[in-house]
Amino acid sequence: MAELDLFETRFAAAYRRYLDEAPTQVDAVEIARSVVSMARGRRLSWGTAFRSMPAPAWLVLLAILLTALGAALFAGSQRDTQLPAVVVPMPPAFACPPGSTPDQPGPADQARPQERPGYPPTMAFDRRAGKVVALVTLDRGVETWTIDACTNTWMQMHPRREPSGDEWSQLVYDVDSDVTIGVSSGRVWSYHLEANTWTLMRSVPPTGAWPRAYDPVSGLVVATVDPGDPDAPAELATYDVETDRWAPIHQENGPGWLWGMCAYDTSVDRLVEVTGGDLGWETWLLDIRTGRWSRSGAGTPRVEPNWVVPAIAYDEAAERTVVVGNAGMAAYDATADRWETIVEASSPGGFRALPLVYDPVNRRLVGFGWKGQGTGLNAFDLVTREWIVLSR
Amino acid sequence: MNAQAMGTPTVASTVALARAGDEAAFAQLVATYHADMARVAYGICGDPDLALDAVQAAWIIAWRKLRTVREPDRLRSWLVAVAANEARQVVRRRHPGRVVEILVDPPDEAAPDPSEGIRRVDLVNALGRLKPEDRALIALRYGAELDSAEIGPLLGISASGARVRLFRLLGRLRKELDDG
Repeated sequence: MAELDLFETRFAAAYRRYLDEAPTQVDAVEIARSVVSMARGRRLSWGTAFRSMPAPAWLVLLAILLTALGAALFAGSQRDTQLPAVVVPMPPAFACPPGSTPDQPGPADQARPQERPGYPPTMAFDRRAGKVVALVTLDRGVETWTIDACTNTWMQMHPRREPSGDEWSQLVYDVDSDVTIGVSSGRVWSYHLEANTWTLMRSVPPTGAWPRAYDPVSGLVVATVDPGDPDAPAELATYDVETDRWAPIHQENGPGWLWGMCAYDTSVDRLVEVTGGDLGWETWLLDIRTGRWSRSGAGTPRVEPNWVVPAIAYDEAAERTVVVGNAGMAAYDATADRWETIVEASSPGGFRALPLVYDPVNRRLVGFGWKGQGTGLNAFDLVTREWIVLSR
Repeated sequence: MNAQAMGTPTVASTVALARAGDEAAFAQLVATYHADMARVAYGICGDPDLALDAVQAAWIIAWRKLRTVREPDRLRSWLVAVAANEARQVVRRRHPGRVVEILVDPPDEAAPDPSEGIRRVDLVNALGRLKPEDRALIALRYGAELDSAEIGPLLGISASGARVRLFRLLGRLRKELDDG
């Protein structure tokens, strides 16, 4: 730092004296004991609480949530008021067994998927199994892989039947039905990891339907639908894997067009859409229950300088929607309606992560090719701002 | 024991023990670094109870993530950064809107402080008008006494970016606190 001027010296002295009021006197042994017991027992207690919650309790919780949302129907569509924080009941994530090494890279010599240039893998996080499911496009067909979030070990799954199709949508994990959904070449596929089985669904999705996010309140996958007309706004639809049915979402006051870069934000029960063009980027929020859009007043950082759609994921631990592009990474706090630039890329093209998923087991984001690491898999903890290499 | 009193070899061995699950070693880290973390968290929250909440959350993260700390000599800056992030989260959760509470002079603080010339009440009001991110920058610089090369990576910006932001912040504070 440069030499302090007089004001800075006075300010620093006054500030340090103000900080002397901080609660610094504590019982370190007691803190350590409570932290260790909380850290060791937290997952178990949460998991136990959720597992033991009877079905009627879930219904009551859902009813309370829907009542609160119903009241919000009368609110204005502009994002000039604070959204109420809500509690969306998310099922517990898989807990790593003792002795796991989630922060250590997987075996250096392990078999891992070979990425086809220009065709990044598509993936989703199976929170019940604690594994990323990745579909890797090869010159001929696809391969199904998983990587264990507790050991960072890749495994090629070799299901009896791999799905087929040319260009794949992003995969979306349906936690209630415990299957991963993907669309390719106008067909819907679902993958059950425990059974290691891909199933071709009977329904025909709307033309241009692309799964984007899972809505845990309704239990439906949310998809954008390309209208085929570049001047027309994209449509939205839901998909219910249990009934294998598609249904349109009727929208009001929506943005002119959608990139399809959206994530479901559990902290406010909204679908967060980041879209834009040469004139600037915008952030919109969709109330899936009513179909009403509201536009954020927060300036949206342009993390992607090129005509490339950035990656997006919702970080449950930090309660932020994160977007990543060639120019860096930014996070959106929907409760406060505020964007924060997390990382600015030091050089163009040196920073990118496609695809990007949230790992609820280790409470961090996972992406391919992050920080110019080639096709390696890396993690970023938004709370501690730490990078971790998972697989080189 | 304070942060300066624990040398790097001692820190490394204590961290290694704590990583292995040694609760006593972890307590030693708490005893060494809690004060630094609490000061930074207090600088951001402006409330002792919220600061304690933030530091407790930070220690839980530290326990879980201690194995990722590869440079023990940077443990202190890492811990205060985790505390700063948690404090920002706590502030946002409690005050999602920008609510600024303006303090008034209590009787015993009406007179300027002859030693510093910046009254506590003015300082608190000026800090209260800053965003949590800016208070974090101030706390890391003047509370934890980190330099811009250390602050930059912790906040995801360059060292020069940290310097520029700090310079602008000081300019703003100067106008509010030193306009005479």
